[in-house]
Amino acid sequence: MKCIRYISILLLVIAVVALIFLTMGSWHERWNYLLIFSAFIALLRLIIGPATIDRVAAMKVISVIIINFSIIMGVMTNNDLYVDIAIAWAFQAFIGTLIFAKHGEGKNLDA
Amino acid sequence: MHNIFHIAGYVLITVGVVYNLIAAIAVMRYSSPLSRLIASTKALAFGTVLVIGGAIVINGWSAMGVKSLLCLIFAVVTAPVEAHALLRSWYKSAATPLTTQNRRHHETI
Repeated sequence: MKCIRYISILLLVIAVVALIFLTMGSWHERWNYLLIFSAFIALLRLIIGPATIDRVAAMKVISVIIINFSIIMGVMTNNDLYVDIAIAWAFQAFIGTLIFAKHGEGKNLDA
Repeated sequence: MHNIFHIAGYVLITVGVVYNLIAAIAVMRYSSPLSRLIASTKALAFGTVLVIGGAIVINGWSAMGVKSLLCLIFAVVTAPVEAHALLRSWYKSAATPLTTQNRRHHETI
């Protein structure tokens, strides 16, 4: 498990270099690339998380990244449809997190 | 880049996206579940506030700006509630907080 933690920092350096040199497009492309990279980093923690709270925290990170992605899509296309999607995702992520927290209370699901 | 509001909004969104990246790295790299919970609630909520605030600054008083303001208020209100519920769930299910006795067990995870 330690090698995955070292590889994540290596991937951070690669992402910064790709942000500066490889993405010669607009700022929206750079934001989207960074958000997708963050979602994959959180996905690693969702896979290897030893406790339930780690998995739920990683799931919350991915949900908030999807909300920010929708907001950035709305800024990019100047269309308020995407902000409705962001509000719906915020409600859904809130209720999902509360259900996981209430369901796992008092139980020792893993580790 | 039309006026000062566009530039300010772009700067806000860039800083918020970098905050999200830092929060994801912290969730991956921290050694204790409580530290990961701090990273996934506080830093992530601040990044969300910056991103949606940038959208509000860019659009102003239009339909999209008002909807973004609604989303921002909801995100700010629900972040501490989620943190409290998760921490309560973790504390009631055979939790082992990080002390000097079991520090080695937490750092090997």
